Amino acid sequence: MLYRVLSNLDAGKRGIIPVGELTDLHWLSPEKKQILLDVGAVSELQSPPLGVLPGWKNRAKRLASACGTAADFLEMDDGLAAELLKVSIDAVAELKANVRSFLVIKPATG
Amino acid sequence: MTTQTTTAVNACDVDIWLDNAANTLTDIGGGTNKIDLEFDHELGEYRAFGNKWRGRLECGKDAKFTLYVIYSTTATEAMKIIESWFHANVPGARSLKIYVPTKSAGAAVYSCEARIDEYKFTVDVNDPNAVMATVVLLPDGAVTYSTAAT
Repeated sequence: MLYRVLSNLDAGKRGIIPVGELTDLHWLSPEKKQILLDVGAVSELQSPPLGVLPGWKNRAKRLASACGTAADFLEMDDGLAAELLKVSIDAVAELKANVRSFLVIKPATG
Repeated sequence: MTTQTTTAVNACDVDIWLDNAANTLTDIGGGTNKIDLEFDHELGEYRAFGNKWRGRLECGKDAKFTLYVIYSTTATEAMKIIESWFHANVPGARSLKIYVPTKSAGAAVYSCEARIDEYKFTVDVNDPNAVMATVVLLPDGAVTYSTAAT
């Protein structure tokens, strides 16, 4: 499960995770994740179908058997993604970064 | 009917962490019993002909942290960390973190690099209570407001 950060998160040694970022909060127990949801610090990520992202229509078709949304793709096993897309593991990392860039919201400065 | 809050907190278990001389965040809550947190937003103003109401412009932000520290003699406790910091040749900035209501997931965290502005205390032969010192820390740069996720 991916979460959108709604209030800067102080993740200790992991540093500050800024508003708008995505995180899986993998270091927290389910109870602590629920606390962050309850206080409005994060929300469950609502992401669009992968195919609506610019340049992703054809890739989404190749991945359709394994994932439907952009978030599904970000959480997908890299090896399986590489196999379905017929690309290298390194290329999957770049593609995930590309999808992530569509989902992260940069906060207004000032 | 007005919805009543169910999430009020008190300050009994607030946590305050400050870098020691080795730049390691250290829990100084056990030697501190009160903190004033002051946040300031500079606002300019104007009013033009034909308008009764003032307009306001936003500018800088600042903060001030006043710690009420119990005078104790252990090197790893709040008072000695503060004193050794102030009296260092080059005190420098140190990390400060304050967790409200306590250091756990969901808590509000105020964190910054702070410089020590002043500390003072009074010793009074007629006062049997523990000696208390007040310490003023000022941020060097932004104060980050975040939610604890640890």
